[in-house]
Amino acid sequence: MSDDGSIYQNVDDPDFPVFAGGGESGRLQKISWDNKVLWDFEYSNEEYCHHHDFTVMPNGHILAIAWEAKTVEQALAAGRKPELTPKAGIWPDKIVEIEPQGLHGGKVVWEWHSWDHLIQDFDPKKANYGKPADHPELLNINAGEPLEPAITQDSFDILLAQDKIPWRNQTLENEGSDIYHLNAIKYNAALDQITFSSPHLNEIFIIDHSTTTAEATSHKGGRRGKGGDFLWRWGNAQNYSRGDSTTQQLFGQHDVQWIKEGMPGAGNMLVYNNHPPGSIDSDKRGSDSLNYSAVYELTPPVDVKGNYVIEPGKPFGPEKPTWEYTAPDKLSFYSSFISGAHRMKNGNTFINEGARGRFFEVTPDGKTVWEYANPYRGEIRKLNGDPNSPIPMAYSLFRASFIPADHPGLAGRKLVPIDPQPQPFKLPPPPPEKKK
Amino acid sequence: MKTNQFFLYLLLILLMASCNSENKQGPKGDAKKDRDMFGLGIKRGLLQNTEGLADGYAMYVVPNSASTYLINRKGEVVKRMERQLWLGLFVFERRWLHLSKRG
Repeated sequence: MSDDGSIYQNVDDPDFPVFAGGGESGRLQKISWDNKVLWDFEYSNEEYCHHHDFTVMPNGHILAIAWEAKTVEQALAAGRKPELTPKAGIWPDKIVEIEPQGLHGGKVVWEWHSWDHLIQDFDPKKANYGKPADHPELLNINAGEPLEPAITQDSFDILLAQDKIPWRNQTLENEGSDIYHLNAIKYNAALDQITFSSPHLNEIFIIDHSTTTAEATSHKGGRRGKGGDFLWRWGNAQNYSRGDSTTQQLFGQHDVQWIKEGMPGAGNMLVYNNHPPGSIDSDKRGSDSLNYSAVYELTPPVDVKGNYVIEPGKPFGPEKPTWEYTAPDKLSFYSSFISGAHRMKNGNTFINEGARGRFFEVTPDGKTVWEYANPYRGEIRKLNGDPNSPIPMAYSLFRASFIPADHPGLAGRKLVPIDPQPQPFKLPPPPPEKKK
Repeated sequence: MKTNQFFLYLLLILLMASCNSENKQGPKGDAKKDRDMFGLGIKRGLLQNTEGLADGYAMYVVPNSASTYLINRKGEVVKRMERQLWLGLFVFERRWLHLSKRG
């Protein structure tokens, strides 16, 4: 929520082309407190598409995550392994800073491309060749998940007919093109740095925003002198060959952020770890037994000048979270996807267990002091008029946030319960049995 | 496949409803006993409140809707904001059910 009570939101663009893979939106809106559209900006075409998350900077600019399309030829020339390259090419992520202009305009005033910071040890004849272990500041283009097993066009068509291909532009050829799937971004104005999360890499990252766009394409420049290279990364050192599966800390994480100034733990980072080590193998998501989630508070190691420290041959620290929340019985707090958490002024932490649509406040010692489960669901239908199935995500939430009563955006607002209250959503009864 | 999945979840809901009717726990107990990740059978609304908490509101986008709600500490909706188009961050995750490596 902005200081004037308006809110920014992702909006599903009605006709964005090419891209699929989850979290597509292609459009951003700013809505006033009284529901007027103050800004409605499309950021999607055949070459790029905004997805998942954005953050609003103090100057009113928007930092947004976007895919950018690279052809098979471009991917292979950059050192991507053929067996990891879908026929449609790959869609590595970029980050764009958008200056809103007028009702529908937006000017990209700064950008960073993951494509500019690659390394690979697969083919010495291709670009970006080197040892990933020697360059933790770069991204191994072959890190991440393997392609899903191929299916036939007939099988795909059957899944499509069964409504099991939920993404509008999904094809047989672009399965796996969304190689990083960035799902969270935040900006730290004091540091002039950006953090983001890749659940497909099982890592969170920090980059410098004090660069020019030209410097952001390179390995020099900016306040930290590293251009657009990673300043810090954490969660899965396998990606830069300084760890193995036993040292991986993050699994499918969401909602990375710095703890804001004025709050206990300020400067540390929070992240929702959907599958902490030991909970479940990441390949077995979906099982409902012995799974749990955790919220981590992390203190990235820095030297006296604020540079992120990494020892030779070792992964970035810290070795362990500074603070961690799991349910007292472990298993009663779990969401394998979506979800998030943020610190409150009183030191408590506000957590959204996304799949269940449950959000709650915990004290530093892990005691739950407030808890709410979303009972509501809207009635948006498919383009053909059919209802969207409420099973199983009837109440699920991507994010939930605590807004303190003294937030400037609420100043002077009359906040009394609306009358009547919205009707809670009730799951429909099972269909009548057919007579045999 | 879809039909089987539908009936599987219906069976789960019926089982949980049955458990709830026999075991009259408070809302906190219901939430903690439900092992379905989506919580389709748990009690909904305000589950727990404590005196002396920081004054404020929870904000979230209602699934499958154009609405954003502000909820007070008592679990009451005090503000509803509406955007023009539909937020697209919900149907996509359904894909997760079919291809497990998505988040």
